[in-house]
Amino acid sequence: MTFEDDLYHLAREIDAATASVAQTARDAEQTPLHWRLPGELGSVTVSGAGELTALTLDVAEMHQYSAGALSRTLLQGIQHAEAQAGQRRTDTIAAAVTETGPA
Amino acid sequence: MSGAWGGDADVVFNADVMRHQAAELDEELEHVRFSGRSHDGAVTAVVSGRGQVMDLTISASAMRGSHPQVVGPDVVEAVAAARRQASTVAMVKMRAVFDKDQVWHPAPVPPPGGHAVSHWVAPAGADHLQPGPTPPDPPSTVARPQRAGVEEENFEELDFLGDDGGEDEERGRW
Repeated sequence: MTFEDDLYHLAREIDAATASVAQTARDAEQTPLHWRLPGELGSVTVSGAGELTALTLDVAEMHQYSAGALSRTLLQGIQHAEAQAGQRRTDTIAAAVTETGPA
Repeated sequence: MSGAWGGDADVVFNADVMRHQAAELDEELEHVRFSGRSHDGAVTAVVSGRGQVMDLTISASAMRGSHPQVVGPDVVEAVAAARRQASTVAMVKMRAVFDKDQVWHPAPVPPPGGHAVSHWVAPAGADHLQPGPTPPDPPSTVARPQRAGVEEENFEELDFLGDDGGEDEERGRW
């Protein structure tokens, strides 16, 4: 096998590995993450990319909170959910990179 | 790291400058804040320049209102509005860092007063840089039509009224 052949096959391997990791990243971004708020207050939904997409609240439970307390609770819930989604995405991509990396 | 192109030292320097500016921008975006509100003003969200949610304020009137269930969507709306603002500003700043390529594509710098430079001077030692764009033409040459390549006809010796027949007369058009 010539040097050019080696280079060609190496380039093809790199292309395939890059495409595989990119596909994994896209899949991870399309998988939402749900985070339950304390008690029965509700849930936070973030996209796989870690962006808030929905927030559902139980109205009866919500009235147990003051406006300030509810704001802090929701803020923490959103921050946790987004951080979790971001970490999950990072871990998934890292795993894909390890799989497709050199043996 | 000098290679066959001979300009690697400049490329590395440029990358270092860009990396440094990117780090500065990253730090700036971490500290700057953008706020967004829901359409009814019941919820205000504050995000950093990176888009991280930093603060959330729900008005007491929203919780006491007749439709407290809208608080959830209001929060999403306020966060999205704040992030839009952060994204708009961050994109402009990022372009300012990453789009300028000072070594490879030197741009003419207008002198004080805002007038465009009329000539381009290569920086000292620029002959060993990677091939870049040709120096910009003076503004006057840009605005002036290029006449050199236009085929012009001299009408001085042409007799427009002459009765010499021609193709049109032969076809009976007159």
